[in-house]
Amino acid sequence: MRMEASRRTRRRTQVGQALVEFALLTPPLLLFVLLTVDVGRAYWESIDAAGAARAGVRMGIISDTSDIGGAVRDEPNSGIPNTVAAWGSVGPGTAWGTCTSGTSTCGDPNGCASTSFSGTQIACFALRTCTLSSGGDLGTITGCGPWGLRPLSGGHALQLVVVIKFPAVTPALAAFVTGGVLYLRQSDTGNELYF
Amino acid sequence: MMWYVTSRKRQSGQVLPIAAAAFLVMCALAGLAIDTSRDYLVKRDAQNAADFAVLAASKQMTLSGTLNGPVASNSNAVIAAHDYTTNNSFSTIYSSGCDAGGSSSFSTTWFDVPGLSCGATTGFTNKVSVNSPPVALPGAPVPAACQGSGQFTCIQVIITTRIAELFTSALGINTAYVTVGASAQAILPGSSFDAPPPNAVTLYQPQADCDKKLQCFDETKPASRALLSCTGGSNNCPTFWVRPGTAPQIYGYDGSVLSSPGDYTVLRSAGDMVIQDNTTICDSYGGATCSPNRAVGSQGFGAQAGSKIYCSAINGASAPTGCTTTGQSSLARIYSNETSWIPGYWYPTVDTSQLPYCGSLILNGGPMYGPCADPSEPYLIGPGFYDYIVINHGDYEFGPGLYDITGLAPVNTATSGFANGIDHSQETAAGDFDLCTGRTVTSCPVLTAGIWIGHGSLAYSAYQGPTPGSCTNGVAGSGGGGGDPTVISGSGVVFRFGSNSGGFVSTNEVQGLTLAGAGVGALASVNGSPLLFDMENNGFIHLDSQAGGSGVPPNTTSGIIYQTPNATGGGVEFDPSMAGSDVSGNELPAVQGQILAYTLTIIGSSGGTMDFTNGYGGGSVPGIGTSGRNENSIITSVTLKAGAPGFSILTVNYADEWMMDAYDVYVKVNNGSPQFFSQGIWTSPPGPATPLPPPSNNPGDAYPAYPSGGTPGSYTIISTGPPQGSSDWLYAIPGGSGATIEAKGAWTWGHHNDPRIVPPGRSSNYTASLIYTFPNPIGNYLSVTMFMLDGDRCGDYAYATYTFKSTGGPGPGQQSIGSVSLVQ
Repeated sequence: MRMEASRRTRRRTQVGQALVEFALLTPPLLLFVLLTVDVGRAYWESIDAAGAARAGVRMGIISDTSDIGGAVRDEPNSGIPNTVAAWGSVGPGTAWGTCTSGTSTCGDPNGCASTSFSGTQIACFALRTCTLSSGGDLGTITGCGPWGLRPLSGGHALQLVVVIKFPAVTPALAAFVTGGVLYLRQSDTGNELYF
Repeated sequence: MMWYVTSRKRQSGQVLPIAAAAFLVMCALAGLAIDTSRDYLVKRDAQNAADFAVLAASKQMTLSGTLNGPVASNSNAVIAAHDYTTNNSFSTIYSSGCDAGGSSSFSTTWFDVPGLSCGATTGFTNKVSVNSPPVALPGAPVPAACQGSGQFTCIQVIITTRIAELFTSALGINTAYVTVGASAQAILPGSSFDAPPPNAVTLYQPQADCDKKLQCFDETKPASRALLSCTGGSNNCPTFWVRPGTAPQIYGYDGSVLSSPGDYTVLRSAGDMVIQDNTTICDSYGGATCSPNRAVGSQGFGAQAGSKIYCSAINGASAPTGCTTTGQSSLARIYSNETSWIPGYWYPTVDTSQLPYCGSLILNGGPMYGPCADPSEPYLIGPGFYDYIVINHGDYEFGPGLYDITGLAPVNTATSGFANGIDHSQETAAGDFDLCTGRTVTSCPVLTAGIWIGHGSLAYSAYQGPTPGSCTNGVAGSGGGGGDPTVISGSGVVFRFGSNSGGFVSTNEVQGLTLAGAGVGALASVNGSPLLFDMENNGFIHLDSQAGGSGVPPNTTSGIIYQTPNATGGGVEFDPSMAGSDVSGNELPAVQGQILAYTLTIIGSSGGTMDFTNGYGGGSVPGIGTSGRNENSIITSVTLKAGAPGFSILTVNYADEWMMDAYDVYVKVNNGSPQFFSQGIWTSPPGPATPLPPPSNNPGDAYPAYPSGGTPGSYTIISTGPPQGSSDWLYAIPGGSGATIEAKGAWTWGHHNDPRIVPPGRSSNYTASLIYTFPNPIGNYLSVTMFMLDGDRCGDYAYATYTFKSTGGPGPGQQSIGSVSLVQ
């Protein structure tokens, strides 16, 4: 009889044990899955940004009048729409977003710092002219001009950055970055191919 | 019972270890996913770096001026490859320690750490290799453009980078290596298209062993030819024959403007030359001015040793051969300096694989028919395979593209109604040397060709005028055509005649013949060659027409007239008088370009030149949407010459039945924003995203305007004729550093000048010029695009691109911009 009572008591203590364990494990597991998804998304956006930077540089090095802005915005068409809402002051039809001249500001003049983002903007590009150690086409970069100006002539390098604003979804990732927002930055440098 | 208790004990806390194990597995998978994503991102960055490095390197190859061998150690191309991988974060230590190769290849490798062997596959973070020519990589064979003769035009950059893994290192995978490669092809300025050496005339028929050849020149008999044949009867064909009354002027190319200057012989003949009228062969090297009856330049003509030159005198200081005067009559002078003969051959590359089959054509003024007809343009002949083409009557245009003629046209057998083949009845002994003299509709039953353009006497369909269309919403009208007079035009056309076909004949009865070959680099199927005729048989290309009237489109051909060097007969013959003259009475060139053929005979009457001084020019015909139609035949000639110091002048001459519309004329440089001639009257500058020209400012049918002193705008009005008359306005492009667009001749504002719309309108032939003057320092490379419209209601247009390097010299056209591109 005592044995039966004891068995009954133990059975009572086991009731819900799996549920409790599951409840305890689910939040960290879920967090972990979301963290993985978050990081994966961040890499995916980074690859998009790298593709956009590449497209912009390739357009920019063809000639000094080709539209870099359109090339950048058109590239990540799967992730970032080519709209003013997404690109803000460097969006389509804007003064900074249309890059067909070396004499007017082209791309974000602040180099797409975090302060350059406003409103719904989630993407930004900036470019600048860099001089090379040879003074012409060759050499390593010795210095770059201010953001916003493409080269007026050949014999320079064109450096272009694309930054994508990436708000982290999970608290885990948000804990690692200031304000819970990552600024994914990709840059490319090309030698102007026109003569 | 004991078993029951034990089982319960085992279940206690079972979820936790399972979850912990699962957690570990999930961690491993998540780590693998993150590391893989990271690897992919680094690979993407490396690919970008390789792309930009190889492009920078190939630019240096282009600037080097030669692509005859592998890049050299420590050359700018190699340095650029290194620098641009470093500038894109894949830095290495530059060194020539791993340079290898010789005359057939070059390779080098750099690492980011010193002391590694050249073949090291580990121990570094970044490794960059350069190969010239490119080599195959796993899963990436050598690009087709970089094989064979193109191998030294290409360079390859390979980046291998080590990635320290974050998570998979727990599984023992501490690092991963990714390798990417990129190849690029460089194209030299000035030789970026497939073309023969710039000799104006190259003739193959040799004199040696004449008795063993099907076609040659028997020096014991007078030169003679009939019915497009050099065999049988009295036929006897010299390699170069100037017929009496023709007084030809053959002007060669100024090779000093090439990126690698060269003074090329104007006329090369492998056999005998019979000169029966004063003949000028001018070498314009160094910008020398050519004019009739003047020996200019040292490289006038060269004949193979053993050949005779039948002439009365050679007007030059250096004449190693001298004239032979025995055996031929009516001999005349050569005004040219003789030089040594250098053999040379060239073979075009023609790809007919994409051509549609179009059947055969016999046109007597009716609409084009068959599988290649365009219902919206009933008098436009489309490119493709044809058995043959006969045009006895009518106004037709050949659309841009390749025409491959495989057979021979039948001669007409009908005695009434429409001809069912070539109608020779109007050809005359006086006007049509070498053609039919029978004068009946069934004469000369075996005199044929692959394409025969003539003017018969049998029935024809009535001329159909242009259909104006609505001119709105992109609804175009159609061009007219057909009728009795034979008027043929074509721009960007190439005629190929297969081995079983014949040649091309345009008779003296043809009223209009304007054929422009493919623009430089414009037609991929001929490998970018500026080809017009490619005759792969022993036929004849016979070019003749009535002389064009003053101010009307000249009867002329431009492009390469080529016959295979494998030919054993046939050749080319043309009439210098067919082009007519401009409004000032200056004779226009009948043939612009080169001739490479078995023989060349100058027929007909004296007149314009065979002019190769301007090279080929270059034109391309991209599609563009307007309410008119693309009508590149309205461009009659293009010249490029040096202007004031530091400036070049591009002149595009235009002729059409309607005036030119200056309103929408624009110029683009390096594919930049268009600069409109009409900008001077725009009331306000349009915004960045608004269309150009601003629609609200665009005069058209509803808002015609005329050039007059009262027209608003900022132009320098050099002269203004009566409304719709001849005017000369100059517009300075704002911010153009001195660039101007000048519209000169019969032009007006707004494509409204159809007499049915704005009476009285104009419906005659008018000519005008667009003159673009622009800053262009010597050595500068430019691509200039001009867009122009004629003045009829719907605004037919022409659109041409000219690419060149400013040499500071007067030579146009031949120059073609160097370029680089990634290849796969």
